[in-house]
Amino acid sequence: MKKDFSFIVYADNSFGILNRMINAFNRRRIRIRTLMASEDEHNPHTGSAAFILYTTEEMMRKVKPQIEKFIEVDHTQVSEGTTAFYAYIQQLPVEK
Amino acid sequence: MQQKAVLPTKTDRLHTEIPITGAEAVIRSLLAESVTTIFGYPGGAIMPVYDALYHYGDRLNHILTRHEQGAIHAAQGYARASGRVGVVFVTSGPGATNLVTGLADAMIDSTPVVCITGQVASHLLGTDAFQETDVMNITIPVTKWSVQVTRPDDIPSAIAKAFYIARTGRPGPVLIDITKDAQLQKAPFSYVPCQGIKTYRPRPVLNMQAVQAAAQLINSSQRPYILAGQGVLLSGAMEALRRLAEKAGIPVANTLLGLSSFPANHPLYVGFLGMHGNYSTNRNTNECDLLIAVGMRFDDRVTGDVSKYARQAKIIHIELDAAEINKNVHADVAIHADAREALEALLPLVKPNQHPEWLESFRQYQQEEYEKIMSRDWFPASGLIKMGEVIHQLSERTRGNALIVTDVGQHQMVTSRYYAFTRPRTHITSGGLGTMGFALPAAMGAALGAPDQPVIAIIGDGGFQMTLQELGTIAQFHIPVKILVLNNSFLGMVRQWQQLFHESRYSFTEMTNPDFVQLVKAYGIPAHRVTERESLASALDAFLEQPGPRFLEVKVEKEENVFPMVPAGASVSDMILEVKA
Ligand SMILES: Cc1ncc(C[n+]2csc(CCOP(=O)(O)OP(=O)(O)O)c2C)c(N)n1
Repeated sequence: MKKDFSFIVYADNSFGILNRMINAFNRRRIRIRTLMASEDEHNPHTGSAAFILYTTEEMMRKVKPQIEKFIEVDHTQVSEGTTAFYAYIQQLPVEK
Repeated sequence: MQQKAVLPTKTDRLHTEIPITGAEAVIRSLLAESVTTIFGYPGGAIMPVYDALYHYGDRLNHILTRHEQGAIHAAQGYARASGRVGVVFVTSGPGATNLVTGLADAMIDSTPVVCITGQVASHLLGTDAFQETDVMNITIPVTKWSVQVTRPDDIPSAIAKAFYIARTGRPGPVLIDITKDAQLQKAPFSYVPCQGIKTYRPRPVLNMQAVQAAAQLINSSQRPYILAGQGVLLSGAMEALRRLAEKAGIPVANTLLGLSSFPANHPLYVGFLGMHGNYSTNRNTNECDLLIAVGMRFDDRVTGDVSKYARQAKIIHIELDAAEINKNVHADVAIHADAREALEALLPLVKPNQHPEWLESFRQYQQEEYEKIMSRDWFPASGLIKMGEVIHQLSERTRGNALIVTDVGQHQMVTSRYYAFTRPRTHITSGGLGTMGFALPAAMGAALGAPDQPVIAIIGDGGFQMTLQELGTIAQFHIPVKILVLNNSFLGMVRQWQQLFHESRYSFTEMTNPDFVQLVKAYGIPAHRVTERESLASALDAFLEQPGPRFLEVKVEKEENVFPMVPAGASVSDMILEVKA
């Protein structure tokens, strides 16, 4: 059964890494409902991307290590539902 | 005329004053990585690098292929024969896009190559300038890592990282795209080999609890069965595998890419797995009580219908790539580790054992396969020459010792079945991608990567015509490749499927071919043809004995089928030995 997952990826901020992630989801035809990516406030060389993905638990389990094996990816967090995604957005710095 | 791959120039610039150009930094970085051989094809955007190369003629061999696809397949063959990283230079635009098939092939077959592509000057990026293409985005899905360099200062560190990533962990292709201004501008040079990357952990810590759990399963198993893949070769686990198999009395089968990781003449070797593998190896997958998969990824050509695959068995999966574990087949015990490290840890925990009845069950299936298939393939009484007899004779004549490179199709499966590989890393093929046209250039690379070994490329008439321009490279650099074309005037494997599954509707699979012998001779390579069974043995002898490049065409049965076969989508238990008329 498909449902929403929050998927957050922490990675080095290099050209192409976001494309690699999106490709991995597209290739498995995983629907990306929302995407938010940002540079780290204190270190522009690192960043993170958060997704709300609509897919099955099994697909989530299989795609997670495929994302984690990208060279620039440090770690990922996955959880059911959208709460973690919105919590991630909340802690992003707001432009004053 | 034979030409050397090195230019008559002497390296007189190694100690020139820094700063140096980015192009020269490329060359010095490669020398720092102990590179000796490069495969490539020049063009506008990579000309500064070629100009720098000109000055290092006595240090670096450059093989000018006839197509960029040939360059990357040659680098793959070089890497797989030598265990080193293959290196490729090409220009931007079409040069770079011509690499895509090879990158995809290297990615799926875990082959370490570093490709350096020239790119238009950085101010032209994104402007549709002449020969500008977005090679970075085109190649993302088919590279382990890629980087675009726009400043000469970044070249040494990018190359250091590229080599480290290509060869560590599960190896793979890496692409470095360097803008022309970065090649021309100067910067200070210092080379620091890459020792590690913060976000990349290529060697997982061995989980001893998993190893102990695996040992327990092995010790209590009655019918254990090892499936050995390319991970065994890549990690150098051949000896550990042999010792484990011998200690616990476990039969060993190979995947396509695992061939040559376990000697075919070993009493515990039971054969080749998969769609056109052996009968016993496939059937007993669904009879064993324990499957020990080492450095393999349960490809669909191995599992057939995965829902009916080894359901009765417990499964131990030893695999370096975490994304492969539980991807296709659920593992009861997963050991996320380098194959050699895991097998060496397992060895002392495994009790000595023998499984004579279990081994005997393989022998019975083997006997049946021999009677119904091999005896007819190897010793046909009449008709045209069969692929099976050619490969069987080749195997006998070379005592399973040659380095064999196959293309894709029937000849590939027949070779995998009948060539008895006895030495590690002597089988190179395009497995995951199944790239026709791979063998000829890959064999050139293999011959340069393993110069002391006899290299034989076995190719179908279809695949040969996909990259045959590399005959020019072979002739120019006098690369000692033996080229054996098994000519059935058909795209044989596709024709077989049309016959078996599309009621013999041969839709565009028959080919009118040129006179291959004349064609090859035009390149200056000695070439012969055999059409009669009586001449096959002597033709093979002459082919093998003469030094240097050589070509032999064998006209084989046009409508022969490769059996046994697991029909697409069927279970490994449903392997068919023959089709009833
Ligand atoms: C580049 C490419 N195109 C198409 C295919 C599909 N294909 C697989 S086997 C095969 C036939 C190969 O024919 P040939 O090279 O003559 O070898 P044979 O099967 O007759 O031994 C084809 C067309 C492929 N594997 N690779």
